[in-house]
Amino acid sequence: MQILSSYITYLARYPLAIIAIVLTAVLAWKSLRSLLNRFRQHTTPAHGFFLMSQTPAGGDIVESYPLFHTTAIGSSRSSDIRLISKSIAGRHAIIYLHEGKWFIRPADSNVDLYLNDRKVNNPRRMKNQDLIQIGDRVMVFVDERVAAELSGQDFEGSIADWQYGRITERPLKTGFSWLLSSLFFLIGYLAVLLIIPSDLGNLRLLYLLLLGIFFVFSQIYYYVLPLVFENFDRTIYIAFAFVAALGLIIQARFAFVDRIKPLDWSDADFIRYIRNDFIVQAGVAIFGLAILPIVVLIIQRTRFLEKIYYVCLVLTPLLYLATLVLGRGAAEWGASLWITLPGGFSLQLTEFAKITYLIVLANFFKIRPPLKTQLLFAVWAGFNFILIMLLPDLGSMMILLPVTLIVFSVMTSEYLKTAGILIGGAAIFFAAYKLLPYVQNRLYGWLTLWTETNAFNEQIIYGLQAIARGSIFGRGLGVGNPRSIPLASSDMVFSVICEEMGILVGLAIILCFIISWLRGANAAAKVRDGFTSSLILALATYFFIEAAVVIAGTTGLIPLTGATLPLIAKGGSSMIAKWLMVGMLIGLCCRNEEGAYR
Amino acid sequence: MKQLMRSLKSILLFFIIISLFLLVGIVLQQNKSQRLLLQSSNENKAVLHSRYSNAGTIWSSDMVRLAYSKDGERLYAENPELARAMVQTIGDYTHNIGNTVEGAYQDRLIGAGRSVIQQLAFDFTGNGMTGDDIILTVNSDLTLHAQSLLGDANGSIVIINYKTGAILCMVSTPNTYPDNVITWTDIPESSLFNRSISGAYSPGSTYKIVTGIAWTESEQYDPNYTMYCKGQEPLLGQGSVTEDRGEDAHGEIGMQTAYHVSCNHFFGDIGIKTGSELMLDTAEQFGFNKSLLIGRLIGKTGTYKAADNDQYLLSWQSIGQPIDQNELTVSPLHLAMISGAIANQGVMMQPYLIKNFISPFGKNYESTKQEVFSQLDSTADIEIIKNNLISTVEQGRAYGSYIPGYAIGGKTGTAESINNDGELASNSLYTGFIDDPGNPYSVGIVIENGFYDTPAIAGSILAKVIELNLPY
Repeated sequence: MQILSSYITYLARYPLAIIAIVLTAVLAWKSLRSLLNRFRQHTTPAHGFFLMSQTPAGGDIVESYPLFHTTAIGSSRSSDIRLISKSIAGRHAIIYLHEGKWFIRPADSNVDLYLNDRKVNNPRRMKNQDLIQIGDRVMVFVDERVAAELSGQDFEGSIADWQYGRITERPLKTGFSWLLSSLFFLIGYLAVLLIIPSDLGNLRLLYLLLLGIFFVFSQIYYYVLPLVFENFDRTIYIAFAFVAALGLIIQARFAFVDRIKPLDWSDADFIRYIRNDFIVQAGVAIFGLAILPIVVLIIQRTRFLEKIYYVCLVLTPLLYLATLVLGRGAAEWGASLWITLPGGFSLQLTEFAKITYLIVLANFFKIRPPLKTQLLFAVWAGFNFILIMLLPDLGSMMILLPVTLIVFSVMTSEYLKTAGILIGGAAIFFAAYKLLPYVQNRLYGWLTLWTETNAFNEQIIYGLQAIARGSIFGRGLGVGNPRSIPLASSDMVFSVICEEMGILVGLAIILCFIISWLRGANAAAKVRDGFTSSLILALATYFFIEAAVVIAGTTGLIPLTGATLPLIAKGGSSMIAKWLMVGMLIGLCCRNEEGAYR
Repeated sequence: MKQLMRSLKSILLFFIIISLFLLVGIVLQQNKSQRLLLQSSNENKAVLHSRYSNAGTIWSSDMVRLAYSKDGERLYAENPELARAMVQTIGDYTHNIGNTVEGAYQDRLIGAGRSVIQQLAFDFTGNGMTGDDIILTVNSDLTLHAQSLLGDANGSIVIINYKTGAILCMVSTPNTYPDNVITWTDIPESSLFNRSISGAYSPGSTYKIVTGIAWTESEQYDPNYTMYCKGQEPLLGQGSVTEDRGEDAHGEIGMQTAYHVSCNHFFGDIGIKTGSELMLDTAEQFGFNKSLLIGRLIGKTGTYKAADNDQYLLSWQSIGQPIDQNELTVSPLHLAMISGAIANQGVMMQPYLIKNFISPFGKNYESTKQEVFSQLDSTADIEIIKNNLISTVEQGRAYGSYIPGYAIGGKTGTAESINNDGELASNSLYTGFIDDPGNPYSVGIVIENGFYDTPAIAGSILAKVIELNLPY
């Protein structure tokens, strides 16, 4: 019977791998096409808001200019509204939407900018019929809603709709993908059930129960949440639900299969240990999934994230400081990131610091901030990075720096400064290399990967061996040798997945994070509000970069860092933090044009 | 917004590049790991023991078990002498020795790493989790004989089939028993080093085969060329004074006699006449400076590196004794390949060790395809060199390898090197072949630290291979 069960599980790797790659490839392709389509449409003008101006020739000819959530006005080609005149600077003024209100500010302190004949030095709010003087050009800000109300007309039938229309994006069809995803879960779920050793028989019920709860929750959410949240993005939900389900299956395999009982333990102790281990890991995954609608609800319907900006500003360095003072684990893992809690639990505050960091980052770059604000952010971020270096948590650094760089470059379009940050980042890594022996060792291990096995690269080598053994379809759940890989269930979990489920499933994981970024980028381009846009971008980029850094590290493409694969790797703090981030990302993507105005 | 879109497009492009780098990179890393990392050492021994506990069998070509799994244990050849003679080739499940069949073909032995279609066929017939057996080209009798011939000496004997490239015998001494390797006890110095495929020795006079071929390709080549040998030193550069060795001199000498007596003066002279460019070119035609993979095992051909237009250095290079910054090395396998190419009309076959795999169904499959490793550009005068080598066995210094009734060609060599104690010592070398379509075998022998009768050893091992009357 046991042999038959193993055989069935062994064969299950074929449908698992094929479903995984087909499902993710289809969704990735659809998401890419959808994003390219949005690019083709170029931009969505803010519905019902625009500027009107006489042409330079004068007379009755009136031109109207659409507004976007951030609009640059100037004489340069890169301006969103290009006005050619000697009195207008290359980049003259910025109009932006913030918390449902329109603001204008000069792009540079030397330019002449007037709002209703009053010089504008700092951001000023604009209202319907306000006169804006940019150099020698005068423009009128039109708020179609107010204008329609004043004239007793229905806004929806106004000229704004007629002229610009709405980009109505049809949601991607995901029914078949969800079916495949559910099938993947059920096959993996049953495959692990079949290989749980008979002497752990009682734990099978626990396994069935916990994974069953997860499955039911995920099904309900797929069908119900779109009814509650108008713009609920099922594609991004499938990507994360798939990754989380895969994580749960592989963690269950770690929990139950191929465990070795310490010689001095009784059977009861051993079973209790395994049970508790699994309850914690599955429990946090279920908890994360359970709170998803609440997080989405809060993020979509309230300005909670905007309101906690100052708290995050202070909390981020505090979380790093607390870890620096109270953290432990340097001897085992090279960094002191764990804080011991009563009851034998430990907490990684740095996982939550990443969230608060991203909120602050998004808030700073919700508009194109002036140099002074940028410098302020640089000081704040620099302080945090120093703390991260002291931990030392190079993994966080390798993820947060690129995310900062990408959000900065996208939201400001200041490419020279981006290059400067890039050079700065490289300098930080060079300094880390020079100052920290642990970084030097990691780099040495990576450089000697193909020539020798040493203490600094054996983890990657054993991981790569596992990937090599796994080939295309894997060796079957429970058939691999994760015990030979240090930190197999956390840092190196990708290698184990590739060994037991095949490289196709490994590629599918990468595609999931590509999907989440593509959908995030789509939403970032769609929403009207700068903060929402930049935080979506930050979160989606974070997931992708973290997955890329971890996977590239475990496969020897880049030096390995201490980061873990989101939603898959073992670790309670990381799992909860990642589910919060998923909730935030989905919630932000749910915010629509109207929602942003509220 | 235009700029936001433009920036997003740039980032999308960047992400697409990163994604492709990741997706393609992982597939390439997997492929590279399958080739290079499966035998890495220091892995958890208990895990390795469990992984190999049901692995396939490694057979010699005469179907003697060289490694097999039984009752959850990984075992090696039942004859302990055979087990030790094969230890650097077969390896052990702990991967304490690198570059071995156990390590490099780990995936096949445990039932992975096959093509998708094959794996599907095995999986759906209930055999997917069974590993493949591997049949090697080596013969157990020949291996045992080579082991006894080497005795306590440090050295190597390699025999190949020069028509196919199959390696019939590959023994490197000192060696030790697999159990010692697994438990890491009682391991003599350098006993885990596979001299046969990884050794790098100065070829000494065996290199005169290559010099002779280079000379036949030279514009100055004259088959009747003779010169006056004044002593044993090579001819030095233009204007140099050579010492007259009196009775040690060979006097007026042509190529055939030069092979018989291994005249350094003659080969130094024709090396200079041939010129450094053609000498290098011919060396590379013989596979020098070329990477060599024996299936998944990493082998070594020789290295040839010589300063341009330095006749003094070139004359020494031509007799197989590199000096100053020049480099010239061969492995025992490469020695066998060199004389094999002479016997095989200038065609050097790719050496291989895996004859075929045996599927879980019990069928032979994936036989190694025979390929050419290197080929001489001009084979017009190769018969002259071949006949000179046969005559060197029949009448010259390689007489010890003579086997009545067979045309054996061969060339001896001695080369000075620094031994493990830091002392200057001489290595004895031999390369030779049987010129017989029914016995197309060539041999490479190196014995370190002394003047050994390598022709006699060659004669003995070649007589054994003839006696075995092996099918090929």
